[in-house]
Amino acid sequence: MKAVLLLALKSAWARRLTLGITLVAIALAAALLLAVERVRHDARASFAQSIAGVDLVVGARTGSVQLMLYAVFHSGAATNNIRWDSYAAIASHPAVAWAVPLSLGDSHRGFPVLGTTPAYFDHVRYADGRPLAFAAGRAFAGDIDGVFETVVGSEVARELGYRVGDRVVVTHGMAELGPEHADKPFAVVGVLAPTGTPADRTVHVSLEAIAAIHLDWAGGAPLPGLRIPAAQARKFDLAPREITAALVGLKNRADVFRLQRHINAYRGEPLLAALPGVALDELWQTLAMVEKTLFALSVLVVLVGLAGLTATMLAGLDQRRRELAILRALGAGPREIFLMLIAEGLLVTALGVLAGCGLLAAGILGFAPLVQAQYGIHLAWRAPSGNEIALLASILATGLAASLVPGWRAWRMSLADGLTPRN
Amino acid sequence: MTDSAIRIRDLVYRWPRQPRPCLDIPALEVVAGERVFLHGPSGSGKSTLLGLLGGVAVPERGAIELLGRDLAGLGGRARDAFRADHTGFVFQQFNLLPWLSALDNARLPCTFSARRKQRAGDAAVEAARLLTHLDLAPELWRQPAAELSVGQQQRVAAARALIGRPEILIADEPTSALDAPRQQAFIDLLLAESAAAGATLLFVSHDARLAAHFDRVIALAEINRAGMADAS
Amino acid sequence: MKRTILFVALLCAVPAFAQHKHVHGEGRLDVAIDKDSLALNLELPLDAAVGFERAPKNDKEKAALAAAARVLDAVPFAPGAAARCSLQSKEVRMPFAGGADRHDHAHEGEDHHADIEASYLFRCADPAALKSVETTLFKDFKRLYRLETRRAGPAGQGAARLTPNKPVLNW
Repeated sequence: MKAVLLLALKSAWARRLTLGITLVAIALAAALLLAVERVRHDARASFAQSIAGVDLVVGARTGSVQLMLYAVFHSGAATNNIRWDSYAAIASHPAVAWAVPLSLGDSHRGFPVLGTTPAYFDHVRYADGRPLAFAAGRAFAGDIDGVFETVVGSEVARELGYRVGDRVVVTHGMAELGPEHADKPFAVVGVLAPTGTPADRTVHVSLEAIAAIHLDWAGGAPLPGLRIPAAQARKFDLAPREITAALVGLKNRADVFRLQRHINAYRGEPLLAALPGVALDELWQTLAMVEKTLFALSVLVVLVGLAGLTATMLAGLDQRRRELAILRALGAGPREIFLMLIAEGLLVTALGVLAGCGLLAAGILGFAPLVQAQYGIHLAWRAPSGNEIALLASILATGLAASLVPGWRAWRMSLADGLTPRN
Repeated sequence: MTDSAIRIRDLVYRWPRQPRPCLDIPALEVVAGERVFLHGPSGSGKSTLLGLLGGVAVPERGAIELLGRDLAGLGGRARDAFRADHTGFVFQQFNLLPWLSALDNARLPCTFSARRKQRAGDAAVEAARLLTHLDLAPELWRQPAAELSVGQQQRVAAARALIGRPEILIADEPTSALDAPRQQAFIDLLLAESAAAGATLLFVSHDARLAAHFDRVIALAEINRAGMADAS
Repeated sequence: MKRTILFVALLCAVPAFAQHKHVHGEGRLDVAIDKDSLALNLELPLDAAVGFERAPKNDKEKAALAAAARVLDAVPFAPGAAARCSLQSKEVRMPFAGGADRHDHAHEGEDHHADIEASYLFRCADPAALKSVETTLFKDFKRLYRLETRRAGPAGQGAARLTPNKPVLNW
């Protein structure tokens, strides 16, 4: 039996060009299937990581998914602002353990600028509840002396080469080449350690800073003739009047539904409190159809690849009739001939799957930074998960099924031909 | 040595879905060590007879005994094993696995039959010995079979049929792809080597001119009643 | 992906705001877990339980209302056994029960709708082992085809959809 398998291997090697092309097709298909599964999984994981510890996201009335995407992931359409006194009312609610205000809208070289309070660094959690950590420096002071201080995320620091002490100019709006707040540069006082969350790609400043850089602006452009130098800006009332959203943590998590109802019924202005974890699940529920379609398509691609294997092996059989007859004369039975074909099909499938894993790894290494930058999804190479192993196993099983057809045909052929093929 | 190597009794074989049998052989006996020339024009049922002797086909009726064993009484896998252990084949052409070297082709039976492997001793040494005897230059041994000339390939095929000293050697038109001067040389080699190995040789050909050096000549048409019916 | 998310987010925007939409056959369940307490809050369209959404007109309808109340009184939820949870308190509010009180406070302007509200509070001996809650509601209320659940607890938050074929909420 071992001898027959060895012969199968040598025979396959002799036909390595055609089988190799089939192998590449299977590898691409397997890589695609794995990539769809991996991106799906990692998208969920990275989104879920980013909302650890936040019980409610509060903002202006819009969709809860939209509010969460904007407030937590800084992506999607801007929402309206909410008043500071609404925020203060929520923050002082007895059920609330902590609340952090968020003010969004400006950017720095494509990275969103987030106005917040130093409490942000204390309360925001990621992954399994780990707090944000500083790779260098400290949080901005949050008082009047610290108005023009900034803390940048790890990706911002890495991509732009920022270190503690560097100067940063904020751009008005989210466009990379928008008008600049050049008259009021910020000093980098801290760099965050990598988290795999949107914090990596965020420039953090104080709420007062957001107010200060907009002192002499109106309607998205500098007021003509009005210039308030940075030094004088500190003399103005920089107390925030509006924020974009707030992250809220509760003393008792079970209160979240009650507090959500309370905030949604707030009389001061229309507010929306979203449960970020629930909103994410609702997002995935809505995306389930898209995911299923993508998955079905990639399964189809795998099937096409394996159908290619069947076709290649069947076409090869006609040229191998002589070879099979020789093996028969040497004492191989139809059973061995059948197993040879199965072994060949399985070998090509297995190598294809392995190569697919390699392609996936290369793809992840190559595209992870881009995906992180564009979509905020943190892709990391790791050994296949249980789900992925199940997928790989089912590709192998389908490869086995695909080899049954040529195997069966070879069986029939070797029985009909005997020692002397008729062709 | 009066044991029979091949004994056929009342053999009838019919192709599936054919009204009349293509083989109907009342008796055929080849004694062990005998070298027999079986003459038959193409289409006379030669290949079918060889398939039956090889055990890849089973007769509708009658007995085929090789070395005293009735093949019809054996199961498919036992017939395959019997073929691997006791029978060497040389065919018309394309005898070799093109992607294996001459030496590896000659050694192949030892991977299929433990008996022949054991009888060959060191398979590589024995294959080399046979190839030398069959006049294949050593520099060709490591070449893929596909790169050898037809004559060289046939000699490798003969070495493969002989390795591990199977009791029965069956050659089916082994010289038809060779040019005339080489035909007799190849037959002489085959006769000499099968004699040296003590093997029974059944040489099948449509070309009666090649029959000169054999112990006995049998015309298939004479022993096959189905063939006679066809001819009439 | 980003475009898809945005597109979908916009699609979600409107319905997601309408938090308390009333869809016949669709119930809502909030699951809150804190320390050793498990609180379940159920909202069911009356129609899903009894087949009408108004005051009972005859004895048969009154009987249906009473039967539904009995089902909810019998606690149609089972937390995972490993957590060893026991019921601490429950409150079932049936509309039109006794013909007096009407609980349509959440539905101003939706006079012809009525919701059943029920809440259950469990205490669990081993809350760390609490990984699921199963409901038997679908067996009792055949008109109920979907239960939208929201969950908040130490394992985070989540949303899931329970159906007659999938009556167990896992996390």
